[in-house]
Amino acid sequence: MNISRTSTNSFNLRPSFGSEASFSSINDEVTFGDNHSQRMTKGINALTMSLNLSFQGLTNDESNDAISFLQSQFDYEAQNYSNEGRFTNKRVGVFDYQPFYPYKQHKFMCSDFTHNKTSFNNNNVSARFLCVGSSILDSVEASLGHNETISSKLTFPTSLPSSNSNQSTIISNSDNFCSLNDNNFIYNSIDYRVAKVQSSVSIQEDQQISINLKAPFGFPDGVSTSQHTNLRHSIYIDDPNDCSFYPYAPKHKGSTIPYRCFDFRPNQSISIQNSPKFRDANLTDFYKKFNKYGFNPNLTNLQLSFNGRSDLEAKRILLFLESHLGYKKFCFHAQSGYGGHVQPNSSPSKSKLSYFYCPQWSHSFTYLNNHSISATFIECLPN
Amino acid sequence: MKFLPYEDVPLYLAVDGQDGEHIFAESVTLSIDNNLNTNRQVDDNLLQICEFGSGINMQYVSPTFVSGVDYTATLGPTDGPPRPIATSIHKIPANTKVTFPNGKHLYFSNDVYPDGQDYLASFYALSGNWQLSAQEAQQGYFEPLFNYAQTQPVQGTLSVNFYLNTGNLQGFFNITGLSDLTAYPPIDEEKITGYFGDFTFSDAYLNSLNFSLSPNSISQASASFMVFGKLSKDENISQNYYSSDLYQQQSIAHGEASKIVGHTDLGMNHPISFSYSIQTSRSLRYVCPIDKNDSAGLTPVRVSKDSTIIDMSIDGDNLSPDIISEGPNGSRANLKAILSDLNYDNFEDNSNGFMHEFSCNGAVVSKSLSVNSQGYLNGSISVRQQYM
Repeated sequence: MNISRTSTNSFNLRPSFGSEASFSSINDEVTFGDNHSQRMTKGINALTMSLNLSFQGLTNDESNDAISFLQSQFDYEAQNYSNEGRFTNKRVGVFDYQPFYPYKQHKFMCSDFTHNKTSFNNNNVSARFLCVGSSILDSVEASLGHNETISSKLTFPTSLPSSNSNQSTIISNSDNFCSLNDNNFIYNSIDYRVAKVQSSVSIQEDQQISINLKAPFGFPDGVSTSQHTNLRHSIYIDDPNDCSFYPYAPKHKGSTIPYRCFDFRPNQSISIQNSPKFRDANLTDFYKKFNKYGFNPNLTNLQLSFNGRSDLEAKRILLFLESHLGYKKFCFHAQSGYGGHVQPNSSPSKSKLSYFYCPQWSHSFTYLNNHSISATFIECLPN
Repeated sequence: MKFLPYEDVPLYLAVDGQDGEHIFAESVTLSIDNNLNTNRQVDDNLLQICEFGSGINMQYVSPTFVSGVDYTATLGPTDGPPRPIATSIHKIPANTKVTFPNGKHLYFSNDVYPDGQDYLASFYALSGNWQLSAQEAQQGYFEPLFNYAQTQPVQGTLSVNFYLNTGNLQGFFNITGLSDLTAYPPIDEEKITGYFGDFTFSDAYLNSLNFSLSPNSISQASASFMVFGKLSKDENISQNYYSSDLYQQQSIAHGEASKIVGHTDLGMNHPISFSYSIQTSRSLRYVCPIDKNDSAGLTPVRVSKDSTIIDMSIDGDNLSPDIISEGPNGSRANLKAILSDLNYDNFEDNSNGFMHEFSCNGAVVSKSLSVNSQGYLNGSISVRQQYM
């Protein structure tokens, strides 16, 4: 390959469908008795992203340029000591790259790549890119309830009647610049009624504006919080304000849950592996005694798939998982039958609610409006 | 009911950026296959009601139902938290029945199009004076209309049966030709545009061209194109066909005057019919969109040719006796089909004689000798050339 060194610092080829993004967090974990545990990310750069990209059907010139660029990042350079007091010839170069939807442009390095020539003037290149320099400090997402620093507070002076038609109303904003896109949702703080935004609006702090909404179950007057501000930010995902989540503590049995709820349903066939903990006494190699472990013996690990998801739903799932940084807990509805039971003799060791954290997930862009996400959910205790 | 009538087969083809031609076609078919899958989600046809109300406190209290009255219910497991309707559902039509244990039923009051935020739904009952227990309310079964997701790009096939009626094979039928003689590499990847009837297309690529010829018959060819992108309708465009040159006298290849060259080396003295086929396999390059407003992915950004194969078969009176014993690499053949029209002297227009030449220089891939009850020895031979 005739390496042609260029001055460009960006890689401009768009990947083919089937390319994949993978995320993984590096955590420290402490396990206590009765399966209680705590975990924390090891550092601000511990939530990593890698891309497995395929570029199919490239011409000879395109593949030459691509391989030359990727190879040239590792070229030997003569030693050079800069005015900043360091050698400039040591580091492997990083480059700008715009991944596929819904990710934003970032800096990447390419750790391995493969070139296949399939026929005359027809080449396939596959490459693995590692995102460099991302930080969990870039994740700005309100957790539960109103956050004065990053949420906006919308006031509805009058209630909306229930209707499947558009309704126009005036709302005011008293915290932070609010930017609502069409198909965003505003959630009522008292119950689960929602209003769907029909046309994009921006509301400055301490201003009011007319907005078109659809509220099939009506919407009461009063105050609602909204995550859709210009302060909202994601590490890897572009335009997080496309995504709406229920912003308050989920309601449960007359009280609330102190964690957000993962409301997305995985694909139909889930395999739930049960490996309960127990204690066994090996007095001899042929005589064993099995004793119960104690509280919480049966925490499950789930390998979940979310296939055939639309662009927006995939973005919402990815933003939810990213905002939990690979270690934060969330509540998840297990399938029916695992969600507790109203019968008094249901197992006390399996609570009606399950809490999980997700340390790794991957996303594949199957085709337009068709995304596949797989995730590992590890069950943990709420406290 | 009204069918859209066309006189003849109005088909027009052109290489992108160049002038095109109306085609002397016998028939045209455009067919499209769509690869769609449903992706069912866990419990997507199971309805669980955790509260009759708008979800204030997750305390389940069943109303005593009154016929025809709408009840708002919060969906989710007993005690909450609420859970929206599955997004694997495209639509729950109004009046869809929800079946609970012990013969109890509710019905959806309105159409529901789940978008991941449907924590509430409205139901009515057809009879009154009954209640739904908390346990029963967790086991509602209903049958919605599910979503489908596209797994691969949509691709159409345009199949044309037509008559070779010119001396020059048009660019859009010429797999091995070049639209731009200065292009490098010299492999044509230009797309083809055109219309059939009132439907226009702008992203088609030739896949195959076939024709056959036998004595005292005209030659009809068939071509197949891959078609991508949108069709658009222009109700006036097919009128151009009816004022085209096709309504003047046409010259058509005929077996009477056409010839095969190269058959004698194969031991065949009198070919009586032949068939010719050229096919190319193509690779498609689609790219992922980078944001929600990007239209990339609908049509391929590149359609390249992988390999082109020419097959030619001749039937005749005889074959070389070395039908089996040619050695490990087989034998080669260099055949040409020279198409001519009937070359009438007393017609002025389109009476050309020689029309076009198709060749196949490759290896003999099959032979046969047969005798039937009519008592004639028939030989047939097939030659294949890997053109590219």
